[in-house]
Amino acid sequence: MSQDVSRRSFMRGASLGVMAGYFGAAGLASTALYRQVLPPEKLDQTDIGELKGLRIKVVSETSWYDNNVFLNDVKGAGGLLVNQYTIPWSVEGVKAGYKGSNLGGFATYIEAELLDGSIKRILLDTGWNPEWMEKRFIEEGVAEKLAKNQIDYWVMSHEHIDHFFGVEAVTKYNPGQDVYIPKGWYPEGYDLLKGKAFPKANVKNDHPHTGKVTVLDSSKVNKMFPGFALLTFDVPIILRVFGEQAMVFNVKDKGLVLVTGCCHMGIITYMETVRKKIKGGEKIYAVQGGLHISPFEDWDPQYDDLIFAFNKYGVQKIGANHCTGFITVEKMIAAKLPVVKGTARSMSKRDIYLGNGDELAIA
Amino acid sequence: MPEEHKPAETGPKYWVGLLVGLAVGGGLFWTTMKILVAMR
Amino acid sequence: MTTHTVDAYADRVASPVHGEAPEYHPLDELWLEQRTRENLLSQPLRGLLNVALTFGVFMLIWYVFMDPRGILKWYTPMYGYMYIRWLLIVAIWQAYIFNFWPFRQEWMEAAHPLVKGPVLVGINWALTGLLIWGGFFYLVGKFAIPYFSWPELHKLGMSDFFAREYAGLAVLMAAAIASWLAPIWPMAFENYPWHKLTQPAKGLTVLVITSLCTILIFFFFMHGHFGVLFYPWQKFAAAFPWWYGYAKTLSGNFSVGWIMCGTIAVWLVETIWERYPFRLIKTQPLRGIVGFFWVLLVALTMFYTFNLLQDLAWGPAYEGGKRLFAPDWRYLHSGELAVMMLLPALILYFYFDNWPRKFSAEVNLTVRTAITVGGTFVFNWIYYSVSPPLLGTQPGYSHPQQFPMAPVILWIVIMMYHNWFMDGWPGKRIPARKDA
Repeated sequence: MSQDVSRRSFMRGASLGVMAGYFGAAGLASTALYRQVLPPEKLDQTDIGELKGLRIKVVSETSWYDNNVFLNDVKGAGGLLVNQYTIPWSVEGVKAGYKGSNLGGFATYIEAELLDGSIKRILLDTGWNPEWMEKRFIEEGVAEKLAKNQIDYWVMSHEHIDHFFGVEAVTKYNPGQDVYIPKGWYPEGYDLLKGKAFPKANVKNDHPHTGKVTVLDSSKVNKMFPGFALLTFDVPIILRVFGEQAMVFNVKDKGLVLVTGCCHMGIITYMETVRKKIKGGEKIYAVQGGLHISPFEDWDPQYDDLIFAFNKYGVQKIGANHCTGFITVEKMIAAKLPVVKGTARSMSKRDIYLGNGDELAIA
Repeated sequence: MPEEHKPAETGPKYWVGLLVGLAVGGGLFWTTMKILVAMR
Repeated sequence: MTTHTVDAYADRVASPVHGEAPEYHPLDELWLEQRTRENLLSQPLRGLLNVALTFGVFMLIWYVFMDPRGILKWYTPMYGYMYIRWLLIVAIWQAYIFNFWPFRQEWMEAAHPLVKGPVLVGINWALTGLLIWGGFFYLVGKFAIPYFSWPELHKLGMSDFFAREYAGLAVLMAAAIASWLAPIWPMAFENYPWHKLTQPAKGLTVLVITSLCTILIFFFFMHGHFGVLFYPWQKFAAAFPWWYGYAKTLSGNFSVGWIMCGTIAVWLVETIWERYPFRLIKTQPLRGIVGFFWVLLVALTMFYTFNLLQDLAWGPAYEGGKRLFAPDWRYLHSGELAVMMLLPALILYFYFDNWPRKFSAEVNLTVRTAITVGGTFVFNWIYYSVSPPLLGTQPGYSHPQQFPMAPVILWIVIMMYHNWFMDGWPGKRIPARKDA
């Protein structure tokens, strides 16, 4: 009997001890001993080689023209989780739009000069409204280069409407152009490439893609040619999209230049990843592209955190545009960040950042 | 059950149990941390 | 009369503890504690059936009201989550603060669950709608502070979508803070010093006091977030987020995180931990004061522990980061993980008789806690695996438009309706009075 009692007594004490031990250790480890329990940071840098120079031309950064129309389309369909291929995007009756359509698009054209003097030509994204994109591709000479098979790399940053739904403006000029996409595309994306239409979302592709589709994932740094690499991020994105890839260039005597489509993973995350994975990542010379901070002119205190943190990375040129958002750029300028101004032409709204037809040259 | 209310319950064995339990509990949390880092 | 019942299950069965007298006369008892119910089905069928039933009802309500592929599509996510948070606090007011007033005990015992349920749930929904639309959107937002009101923000020039989201966040945070503070009074203080009042005076008093505390906590911990949410910063109307240096974020998500842990800690202490250890203190208000700080300690331990576990799993967040690497999202996710912890605890408490109950308190509580902690890891894995096809969400832990707390709390609300308003029928039922 007394053995029972003492065993019971032991069990009671032990039970209380296990709970106190587990949660006590948890409390201690997460507060007083936090620095000690966190494993040290590991760098795993890849050398991506060097370039002599870079010319980045904004073909189009005006993805849509009226924010309220865009948001009403989204809200009417059920919010930002709804599949983008099922939302009836407004293509007529929009006063601020292009010929009444709210749709524009995002695309960037890049010329990289290698150390031996040769030039590689890269097209990033295809925009949204094929009519508008074709006009811009012709105006910037991209259409001609596509037709002559002079574009060396066609890269898709991610599957979003304003980066991809204008695909027929590219495949019209070169249906056999090979394309690099990030891992995470949905079946509809592959179908659209091959020519399927999605009438509800006012998107079609009358020039089915016949080239090679290469899917790049986040398991490694994807080196394309000396001085140029692609990084894929496994990031969930609004409107039922997943995954984005972004570009890293290494310009000799200057440093790394990051070029993005929308940077949905976040520009600080992008810079931190580059710091850990790319040789020379401690020195980021320039950042260009959409930074997706306040595209809808909404705000979140998290974005103020971003602007405060940006200052610490020592970036010399910020060529932000598109989905970065005007509020963000105004705040960046007020925080004395080196934002590159534009010329506000070809339907770009303001000159406080790089707009349609503007160029950032790094040599 | 009458034994439940006997005052002799928190004898030395209770405290021994408590100490053993503390070590086990702390060890379990340490294991939890190690598993999470290993899964990275 | 012993506190152990053999044939019927009393919702509050005290585990035997050395030194504790078998008969403790509480200052104030809830009807939920006093009612006795009999089992209509045996375990494990009773538990499994009731879990499946509440899950089925949850899925139906989710599809109609929240699912992005469904009918109303309110999960945007703050708008839908706002309603869910208010359903919860109003249910707490009905069951814990007003003790089901104005319904009399006789009616509560005699009415069939299929009558009681719809009536009480109907009142719950009506009050929720009235408080949100009448109270916040058309009174507070119009005559006091615009950010509590969707129509008002939209009128001031904000886009309709974000007006609804920003107002949704403000309104839901008021409910969240209240759902941490309101139950503390009946649970820890046994409604002391107003325990002798009758309803509705008792309920109104506790409601007013806890609402005052809620308002104060809101202004100290959330108002600053709204001050920097708008452009330009509303620096004269709201204090700068004073937690910035410590938390490395301006965002009020820092506060949201630990406050959500607080709302969960209250229920863990109330259910699987049977109000230990402060129940050992026999006198009020000492018991209540210790209880309040005990809940706070549990909440902060959960908060910091979940922060650490995330930093171990994904690497630390960094200032200015986004998605998984945003410090403010990590704090918020700690709150999300806490809610995932409540789900197995409530299933154990409501549907599996808070097993085990036959050992000493220490052993019972430890086994339940082990089940709850293990259940949290398992549920976390299940949730992120099945929620895209089941709930219409996107894959990934951190999505700008997602907030797993919303569906999980909705299921918890359904379970509360089922157990508080319907006595857990058809698993259990209050037996008919023999002397009727």
